[in-house]
Amino acid sequence: MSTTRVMTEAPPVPDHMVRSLVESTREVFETMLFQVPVSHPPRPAVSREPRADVVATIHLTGPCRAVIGLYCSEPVAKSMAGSMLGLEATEIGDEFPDALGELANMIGGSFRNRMAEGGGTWAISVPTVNIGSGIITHYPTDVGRVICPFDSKGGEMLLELVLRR
Amino acid sequence: MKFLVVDDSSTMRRIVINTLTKAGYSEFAEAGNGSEAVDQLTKSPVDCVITDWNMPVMNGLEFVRAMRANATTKTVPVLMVTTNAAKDDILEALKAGVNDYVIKPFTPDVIKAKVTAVMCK
Repeated sequence: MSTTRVMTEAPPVPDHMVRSLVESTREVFETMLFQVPVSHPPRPAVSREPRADVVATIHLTGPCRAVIGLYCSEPVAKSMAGSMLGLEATEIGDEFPDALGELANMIGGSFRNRMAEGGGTWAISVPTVNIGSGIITHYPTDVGRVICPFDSKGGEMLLELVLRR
Repeated sequence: MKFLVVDDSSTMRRIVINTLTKAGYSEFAEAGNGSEAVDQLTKSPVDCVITDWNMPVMNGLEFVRAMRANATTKTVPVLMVTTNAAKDDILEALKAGVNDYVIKPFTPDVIKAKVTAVMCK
């Protein structure tokens, strides 16, 4: 009896998609949070990262399937929610998950619009937000993943772009 | 002048209300989806509706169509605020009866200008 081993290979994440995610994030921060985030060079994601306490996720489907994840700590999430609402982070309570979801929605929407300029019809899901301690999102090995680190006014956040075949 | 702000995100409703408050407006009603918005409009009339597109239960497009089919809300100005920026989406929204369209993310000045424009039409 013979077996055939199916080799899987992660699809590369095209540079223009990574650039679009970085530009979308900057655009949303500048217009809705009134701050300019500092972006650091994107890097491939390795196993068991990113890890964070708050994760906002949005899915996109079109010529390919993609997932955008926004990872940060709770204080950073509250700082970003405060910037959106014109409040101090200390004034933010249970409303920060909704704000993070809306932030992911706008970044995903801006990214989708940039992708659509290159052709094809793209659809976007509603955002989901998970809150916990050291959350890791596990993906199959045949997906391409890139992490885009940013420093916001409140601290570090990571945007992950996951590309499925 | 009274506004009805319709969005499933309470954050976005507050952002819109904060922006319009700074522009001098002071009377607002809120709804989390199109169905709640229809209920709000039957209870109390408004001068302008600002609505999202993608919402659970009844989306913004269905809500606007329901408004335009009702004699009492047929002519109320509607501004749609959404991430949908494709030309086909904008045409579909205008065809449904939306008066103008704002793409998220937006600056406060854009919302103020668009509200002024739809109220003047």
